Amino acid sequence: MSSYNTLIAVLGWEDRFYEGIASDLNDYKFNSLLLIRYTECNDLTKPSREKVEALCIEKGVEVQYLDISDNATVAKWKRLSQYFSSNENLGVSVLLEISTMPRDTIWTLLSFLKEFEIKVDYVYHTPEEYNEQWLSREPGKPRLLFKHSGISRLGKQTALIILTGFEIERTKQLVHFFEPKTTLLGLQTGSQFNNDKRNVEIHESIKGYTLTEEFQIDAYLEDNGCEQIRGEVERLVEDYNIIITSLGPKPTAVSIYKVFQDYPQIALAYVPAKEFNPEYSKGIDKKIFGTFK
Amino acid sequence: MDRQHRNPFEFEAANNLSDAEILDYYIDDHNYGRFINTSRNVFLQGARGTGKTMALLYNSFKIQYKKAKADNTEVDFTRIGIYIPCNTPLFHKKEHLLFEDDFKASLLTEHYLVLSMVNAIATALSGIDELSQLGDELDNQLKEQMEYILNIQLLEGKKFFEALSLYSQREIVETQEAVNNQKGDDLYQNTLTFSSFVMPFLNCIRRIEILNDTHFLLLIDDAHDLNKHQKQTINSWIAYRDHSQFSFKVATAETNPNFQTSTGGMILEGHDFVSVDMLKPYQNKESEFWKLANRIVSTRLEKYGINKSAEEFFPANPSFEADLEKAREKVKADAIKKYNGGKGTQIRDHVAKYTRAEYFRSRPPQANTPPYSGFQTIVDVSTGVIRNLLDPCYHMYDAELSNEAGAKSPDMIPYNVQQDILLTRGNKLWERLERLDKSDADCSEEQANHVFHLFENIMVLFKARLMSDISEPRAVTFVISEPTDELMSALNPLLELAEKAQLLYTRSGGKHKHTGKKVTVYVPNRILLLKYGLDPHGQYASVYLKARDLYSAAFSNQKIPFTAGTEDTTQASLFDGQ
Amino acid sequence: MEELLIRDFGEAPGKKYFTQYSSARDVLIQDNFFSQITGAQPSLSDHGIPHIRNVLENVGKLLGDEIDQVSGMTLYCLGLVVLFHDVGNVFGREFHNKHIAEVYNHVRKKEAYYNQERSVVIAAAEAHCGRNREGGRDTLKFLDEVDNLFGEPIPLRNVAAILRFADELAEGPQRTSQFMREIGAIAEESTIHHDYASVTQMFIDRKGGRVSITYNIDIDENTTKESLNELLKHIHIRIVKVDEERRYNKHYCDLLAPFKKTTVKFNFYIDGMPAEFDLDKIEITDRFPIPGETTGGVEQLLSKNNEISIDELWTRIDKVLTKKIAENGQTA
Repeated sequence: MSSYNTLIAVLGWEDRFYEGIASDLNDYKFNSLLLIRYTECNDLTKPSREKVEALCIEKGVEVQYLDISDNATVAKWKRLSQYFSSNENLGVSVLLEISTMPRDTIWTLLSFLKEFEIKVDYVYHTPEEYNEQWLSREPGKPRLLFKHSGISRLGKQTALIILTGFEIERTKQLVHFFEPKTTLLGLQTGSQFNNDKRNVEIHESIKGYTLTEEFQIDAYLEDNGCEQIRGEVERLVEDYNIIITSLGPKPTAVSIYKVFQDYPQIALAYVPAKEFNPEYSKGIDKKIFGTFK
Repeated sequence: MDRQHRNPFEFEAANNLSDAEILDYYIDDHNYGRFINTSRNVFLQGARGTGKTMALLYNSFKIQYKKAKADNTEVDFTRIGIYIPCNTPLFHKKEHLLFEDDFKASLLTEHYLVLSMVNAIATALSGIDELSQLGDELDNQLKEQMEYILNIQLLEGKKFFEALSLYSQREIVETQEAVNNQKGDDLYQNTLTFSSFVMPFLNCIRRIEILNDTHFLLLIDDAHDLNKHQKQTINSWIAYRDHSQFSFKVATAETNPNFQTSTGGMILEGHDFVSVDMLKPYQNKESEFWKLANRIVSTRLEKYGINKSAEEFFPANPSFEADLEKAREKVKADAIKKYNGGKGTQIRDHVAKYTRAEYFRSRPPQANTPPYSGFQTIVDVSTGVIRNLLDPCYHMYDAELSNEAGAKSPDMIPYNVQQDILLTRGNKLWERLERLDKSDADCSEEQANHVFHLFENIMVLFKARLMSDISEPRAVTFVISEPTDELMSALNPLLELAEKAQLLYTRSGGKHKHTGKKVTVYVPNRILLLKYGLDPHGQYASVYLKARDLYSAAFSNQKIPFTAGTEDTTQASLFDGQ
Repeated sequence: MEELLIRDFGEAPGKKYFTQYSSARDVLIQDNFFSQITGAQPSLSDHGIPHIRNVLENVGKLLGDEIDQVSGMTLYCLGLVVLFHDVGNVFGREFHNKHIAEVYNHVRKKEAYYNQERSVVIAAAEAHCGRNREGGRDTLKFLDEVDNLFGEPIPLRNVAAILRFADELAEGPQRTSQFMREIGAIAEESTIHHDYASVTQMFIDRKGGRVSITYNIDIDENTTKESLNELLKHIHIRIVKVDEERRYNKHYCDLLAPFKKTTVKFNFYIDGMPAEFDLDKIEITDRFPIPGETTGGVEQLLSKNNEISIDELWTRIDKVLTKKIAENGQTA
């Protein structure tokens, strides 16, 4: 059984949060669990927090909390920066549980963790199903992540790479906000979760607003689509200022970060949301494991 | 891409168009263009798609130079427009927020703005034949002057403008690399300001003979994407006393831009700058939107080799025309009876006023939605916004292209296709309206519900009015009457959300003849009217809606009271003083 | 005002002082007093409630954030001075600033408690225009720099300077009536003041260090050079007056020090549209000498201080020397 010093996760309320942690604690050995807790979700996450705490007591895993809020992005960044300024509390190996981790948090953690001489792996659990009605509401304006906003060249036009997901409105919002010359839609292969239908709707929603190209990406390949993303970035990076975002399966967020490390001139973007559906997803299905470094 | 198979009604952001397309597509409406080409500071205010970028780009020197060459006319060097876009990843960076010290944030962000500006000027001028061939002596002198002022080394072997453009490119990259990697509160050491870079640069290039008397128009686009420090910096430059060398034309989508300067002072409309409302469709009588729309569409058709007028390409449903004629005859007969034969223009005015209302009223209850079609209808539903005009045209063309076997370019859009698209686009907007919190930034679920109820009840009222025998049945705009601070503080956020989402537009309705106060006319996006079978053509009158009724409609989903026979409209003028 | 009075004196006394102010205000309003000014002088551009409100707003804008540095009692005094400064107009425009006492006595019912207040308020209000006791226009010169009210020090000259400047800047369309102008109900000699008010917009920009005047003038095919000239001449005079008031009042009141310039912009409109010619903004800054650059400074000094010119001095010196020589001669 593999062991890590620390398991890092964002406290969630979906089934796959608790089930995922339980599965991780079953599959690997940990000294401690660091739970990043978004304080605005405290009410929603209380039941699963109690269950996880009980489980950790049973498994002899120490639980630590790191409280942050998405309402103050500067304070959030500084808090995380301060906490991860040394790897004293992390040990030499870390497993990121990214199933319920916002993509910008994934990138932020990777940016701090990469500075240390430690092993970083990640695990992702897919749900059995997603809510058909809605997933998130009250979006904020799209943002570029601090210190990952790329190196913009004067006079170049913008290319927007979107690894698409379920929320068509986010794709449209990103296109309307950044007004790119060209938009590359990374469409998840396969027909799971009504992918085919959704991909058509996405394309329709931005027709006329931007030149659009598509490419296929498979987040469930061994490299989680990293080489597919890299190929598109390589193709465009000389002629465009690239903004890239992931709205699809979370492992692609890790892939994006890997590509970013080789191309720091690209900008990582995300769309925050104020409200998430308590019935975001149901159940837990496949597990995907990957190595970051 | 084969132009024949591209859509002639592409409405992508104007700064993604080629120079040739800008020259082809731009239509001078004899309106704000003349403000751009003056030494005044100008704020161009208007929502997305109202033509701000197009206006700035057209007036940029790059385009004007090409136009002069193409027309074989003399290039005018006395006015040089430099286009400076702000909707770029550079201006979306937020690292400055990490500084504890606000002043450092303002220094860094001014540095970005200044480098963008100088790069834009240098790049624009380096592409000009007359300037790329400066004598070596002058070229060296200019380089030496800037090197001395900035304490830098410009690239050898490159001409002055190109060298300066490369310098600004290098500087912007180095700054970003430093900022992205810096820890703590360290500020990049070599920040430049408007005074330390732009002004010496402009002074320096005046040594070139053809630029001796040049006035630079600094065309700043999408200024709403700038952060607060950058906006204040620009305001401070606008407040600067000497505008002989340069002036600013600032395009913004903000309805209430902040006019504060870096020192906390204010710049004043009418004093420090002129404000141009891009949505005011009747800024002068020659620029009626219909004429502008006609020219825009006709030009596009012509460029695509389609030899039809806008009305021929988008014909109206003949049954609509026939039924309208029947309504006209009936109204005329009624008018002759009512006015006993009538005097002067009485009959004609009555017919003009009530024909369309009679048409809509007399449709059988079980009939489908009216056959919305024809170029006039497309112009009406655009609500005076160019992008709203092109959007349905684009989708109609696309739909017809898909219908045509062998992908032949359509030479006409059948009226049934027009109707389908108009209704579909309208329904899509209603879907968005229903769940504004899902798609639009900073709108809560509660607010989304309130906005939806507000619009729904307004449409129901407009429908009731249309079906009633009243004096202005087709009015589809409104003015808020009896406002109180309490009611408006609840309503304003909803109205602002609707405006931001382009569900609602506002126009200045001139001055109230009794109070002298400015009247704001609220104009719902006319494509929303189609779902309710309303007449998008509207009428030159606005309905008075009481603030408390609007409040109840929004917050309690109550119907807005309407009694036929009550005088509830105003001829809120679109010209001050009329 | 109420907040600062409470800050300085505590809840109860602070509220009491504020009630003293508001009761005076209410008497004037309820008595329809301000409307009588317009009635007595229908051709005057507005001196009624809107004007008073405008002057009070201007006081706030002139002081800006620094209002917190002003004592509550000073603001109390300022408020009263604003209320009363034009009340004398009910007796006629000429010397209106000298008839304040009569109205004041009516409002305060000659209660002895208010004697000092009356003295202070009248002194400051009288100085907002007119002439001083020597017949000159420097009305602030003879005001005490500091006076007192209910035992608290009042920077009286500051108060008068602020009122004077706020009053000067209370100009604009709100002071006139479009309707009265259209029906010709304004006396001919007053028309120019109403015309001026209708085209003027004032803006007080403390943080920007300026007072801005914008003139929005409509012209049409009926406009003649003569009619425009009449208006322009008046505008020119008023521009100079505003700037003079700015420098004059700033000299006496440090709180007005930030106002370093007056900016002026002319906008001409034809059929509601801006006319197609550009006029630059005019900027009048403080006149200060730049060492070494200014010429004629000595001549200017001597023209105002003739007694230190060589001729005048020598006349006096020669006189005393001659007398001394004569005395020495006698001794010898």
